[in-house]
Amino acid sequence: MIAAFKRAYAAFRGFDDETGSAPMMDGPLRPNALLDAAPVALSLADVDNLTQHRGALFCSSGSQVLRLAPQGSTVIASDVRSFERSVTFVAAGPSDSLAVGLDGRGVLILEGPHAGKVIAEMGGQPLRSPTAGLFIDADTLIVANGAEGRTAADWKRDLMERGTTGSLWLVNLSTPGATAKRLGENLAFPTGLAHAADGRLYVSEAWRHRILAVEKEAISAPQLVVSDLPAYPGRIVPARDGGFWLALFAPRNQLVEFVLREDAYRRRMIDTVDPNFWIAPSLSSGVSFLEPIQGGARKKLNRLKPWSPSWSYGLVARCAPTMQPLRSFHSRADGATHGVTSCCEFNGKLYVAAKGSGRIVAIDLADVGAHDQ
Amino acid sequence: MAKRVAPELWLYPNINTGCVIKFDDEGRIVESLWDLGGVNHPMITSMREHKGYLYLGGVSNDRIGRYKIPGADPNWTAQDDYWGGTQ
Repeated sequence: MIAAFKRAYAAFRGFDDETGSAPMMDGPLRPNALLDAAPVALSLADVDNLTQHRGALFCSSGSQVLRLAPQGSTVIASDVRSFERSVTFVAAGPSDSLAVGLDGRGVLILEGPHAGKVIAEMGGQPLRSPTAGLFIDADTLIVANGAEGRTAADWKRDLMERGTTGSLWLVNLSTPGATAKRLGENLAFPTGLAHAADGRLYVSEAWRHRILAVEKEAISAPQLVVSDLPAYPGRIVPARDGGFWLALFAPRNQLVEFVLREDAYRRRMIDTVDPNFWIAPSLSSGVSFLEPIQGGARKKLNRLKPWSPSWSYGLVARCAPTMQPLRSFHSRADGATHGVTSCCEFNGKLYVAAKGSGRIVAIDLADVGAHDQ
Repeated sequence: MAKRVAPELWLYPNINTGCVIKFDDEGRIVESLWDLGGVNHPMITSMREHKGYLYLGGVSNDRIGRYKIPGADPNWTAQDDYWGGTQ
């Protein structure tokens, strides 16, 4: 209540409080160019969720799921399976279970004891944006619904409309209708799920730039684990040596934070401008000359400086078991590994899928340990 | 924005593009040359035709571009055209 008055007063007087600023990338998130330095394993448009299943590496791309076979420093894609909708996530689980999220449609169990099952609604509401899935066991799947009544592909609109209709569900696959129990609600676009060591569940809440911990069995008050991230957090995957890898799919930007507070302007922008040219984060940028830039992104001596403000960025963070970032891998404004939506450790390498740039890069973890911070 | 956001973060149109237009005595544009991606010549701020080539400069660039103008007179210079030829 007091915060609302403070905000109203700040807006009236025209100054900003601390909640309106984007944090610096500093400390363990200090920028480097390690994502661009890593060899490109595969160029594939729209490459998204990497996952390990039946001892092999899989990824999604558009409306397809592909198997990836490492060959030297690259990977060869094969065994393509196509779906009628864009694949929003791929989740592998025990007993060779595999689930895929289909944008606007729901979740399809592809393999395992419940193969063929479709989850199209949860709690009486259609499941439109299944952004993440996580198996607890072969019969139980946790599903994140990014926003109610909106597809996952429409994430930018959800951010700019300050959406907080995301929810979290526990689905019992062994019951005939695959009954779902609500674990979380009013979330600002949940995008990633992982098992915490203490038996709880980590959830990345993208639009509030934070990681939450919730109970797995029943609805609980979410607890804040990490906040004030300088980029929008996405998928969380466990790391082999303990802790997690966190993909952050787009950078925060002071101008975007400003626009998010200017309601009338934002409304007009949403209503009248093509979403590709909004003042909003993006998975890739510099694609069209019609895209606006920011003052610091003017080319000097024919170069786009790496520290330029940018609508897109590439960022993967190595996190402790408590989700505290320990170190990070970046592709800066002048880089070409932007919009990282997922990563997966496989055969001693960290495969990183940059959806925005349409490429998978492979970081040799033995190499990386050598120049640890 | 001007008051509450740092100038490096202000919104600009994409001025990382290069463009030269040619117009006639009536002000009608007859030709345009672009570097839409700003790959070699972003933000061209000056240009000059000289002996069949168009030279391109940008005040914050580290290079001068040279473009062969198709069908241009290889002996024409702006200096001679304006002040009278010495040839």
